[in-house]
Amino acid sequence: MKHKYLWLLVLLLVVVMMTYLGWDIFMLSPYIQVSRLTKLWGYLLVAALVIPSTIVFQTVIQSRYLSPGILGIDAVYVLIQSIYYFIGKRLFGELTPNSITGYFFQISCLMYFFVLTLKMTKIDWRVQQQEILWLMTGMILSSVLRQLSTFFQILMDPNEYLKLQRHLFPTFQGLSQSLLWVATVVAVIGLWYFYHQRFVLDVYHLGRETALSLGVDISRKTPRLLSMVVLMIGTATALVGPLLFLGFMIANIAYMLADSHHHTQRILTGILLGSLFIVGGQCLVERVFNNQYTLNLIVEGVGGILFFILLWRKAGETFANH
Amino acid sequence: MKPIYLWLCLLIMIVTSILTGAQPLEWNTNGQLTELSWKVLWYSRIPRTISIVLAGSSMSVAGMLMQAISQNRFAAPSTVGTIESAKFGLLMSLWIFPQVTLQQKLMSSFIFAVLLTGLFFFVLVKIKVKQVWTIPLFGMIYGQIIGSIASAIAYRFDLVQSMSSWQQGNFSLIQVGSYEWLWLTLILLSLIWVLRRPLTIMQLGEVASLNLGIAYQRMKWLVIAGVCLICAVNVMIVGTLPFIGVIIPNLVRMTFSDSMQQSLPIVMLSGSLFVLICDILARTLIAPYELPVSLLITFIGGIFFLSMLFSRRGATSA
Repeated sequence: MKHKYLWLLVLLLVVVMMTYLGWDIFMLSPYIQVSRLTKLWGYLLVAALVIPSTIVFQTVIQSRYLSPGILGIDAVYVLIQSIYYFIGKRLFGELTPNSITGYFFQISCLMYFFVLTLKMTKIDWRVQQQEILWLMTGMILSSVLRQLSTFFQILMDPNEYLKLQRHLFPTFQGLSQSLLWVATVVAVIGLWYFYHQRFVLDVYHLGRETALSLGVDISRKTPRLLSMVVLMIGTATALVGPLLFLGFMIANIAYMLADSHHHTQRILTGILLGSLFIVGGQCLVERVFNNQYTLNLIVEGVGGILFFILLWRKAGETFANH
Repeated sequence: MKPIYLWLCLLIMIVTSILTGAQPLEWNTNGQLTELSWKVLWYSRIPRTISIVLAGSSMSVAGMLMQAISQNRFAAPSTVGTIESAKFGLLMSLWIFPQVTLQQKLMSSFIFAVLLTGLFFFVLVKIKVKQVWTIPLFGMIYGQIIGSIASAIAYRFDLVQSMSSWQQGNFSLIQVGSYEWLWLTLILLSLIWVLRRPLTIMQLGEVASLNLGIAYQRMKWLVIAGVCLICAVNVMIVGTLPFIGVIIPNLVRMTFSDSMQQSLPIVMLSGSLFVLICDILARTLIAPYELPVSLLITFIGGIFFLSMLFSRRGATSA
């Protein structure tokens, strides 16, 4: 194997996973064993859902500075949760929105939103720069949705609000375990699809015109790839809550680390890095900081700073074409 | 439409705004207002109307200034992250000072807004912008980053509920004693009025302004400071009023003139008019309850913003 760093990453990941489970895992009670193992599986799933889809999104949109978060996935999610806690509770009783039914409802709303923005903008994917119009549409619509959710949140009973608040912020600690099986299926399908399309993605990376002339049917391929991205990010959001910068941050580090433009390698590096980051960060948060700071705070802070550093380093280069 | 009609509309809307509300105004037999109506008028309706006019005009002028110094028609406090920075500053003031006063809130909000907006413009200078929508796109992402860092901090220190009151623009809590800081925007607006000639020239860019004898950099930082102060006051007293800074100056530019000297009063007028109409709608749609005005503004403003983007595409691809 010529990529030695991948083995290093795998080794590191194993060490971190062992640390997370605890050296004395076999001495502990079965309850703790199961709970730690499911959480660990959840963290690996989040990494496998978020990072590959971010990398694919950035390749398709052709910008390293954007993350699928700006499509408004989190806005739709927050609106659904807010409406649920505002009225749904009276209608449906104690059905939690994080059950399987709730999950399918959320995903279908997301897909509807996604198709709506696509139809509204009528993008010709073969023309450069048109996708920015689509992204702006998504951002503006999502700010309308955010205002709506704030409206419901203000009207809400404070007790209900406290229950809602748990779902408005990413909680790695309390990820919804009832969705693990669905999420696993989605992750497998998504990863298989991306692996199947790996050469197409490599060609995409060369630019739209090159890809067109090499025979990629861009106007059909792009919506398919993007809907898979939306599905995966939506699932990750249902699993842990709205994550804005995790994918963006890890993907950019993965580009620096991976010394080739092949997507198999990039995505593999990304998943390994992402798992390392989430599991390691969660270890740190649980064992060192005693849950005083959430992993989310670290992600948002570091991700925000990285965004600026990248923009700064690219400054002067013509990134409008990238 | 001539400006005189706008003045007339504004007058009518001001009167309507004073007369609209859950408590009807009543006259007694002598043809005078009853004591209760007088109090309602004096403590709630008039302050509310004044603050709507001030907030609407100052936020739209703030957008216009941002567009002048960045030479980009989509720049505005809500699209370069200024509003989010002001909120971040407010949050930090709750955290830094144990017993926070309004002055301390305003100071902290202002300082953070200037620092973070300045940072954005500092980076912007280095980047060769090719497309008009690069600035709003990156600016809105920048705003989201600041906002999510702020909400992560708020979550950690249990300040989420204090934050959500600034997320939404609302005039319903305004009364005597709580809105007076908004008069500060009037001072700023008159300052901008004095500087309208150099500001018009600044729209032409740095080189042209330097040739015509304008200290471009100094003026630019002055404008950023002014815009940040306007935003800080507005966010503190009213909350977020998104998109006004983008749509109002652009609508005026389309219908009237490009010169800031001529369009400044019209921008102020139509800004207040727009917010007044939205607020009256917000008060009447589900009366006797109220919708938050920012919900309506975001909705109408979002549609305008989108149609602007699309009309640009039609223009460039044709």
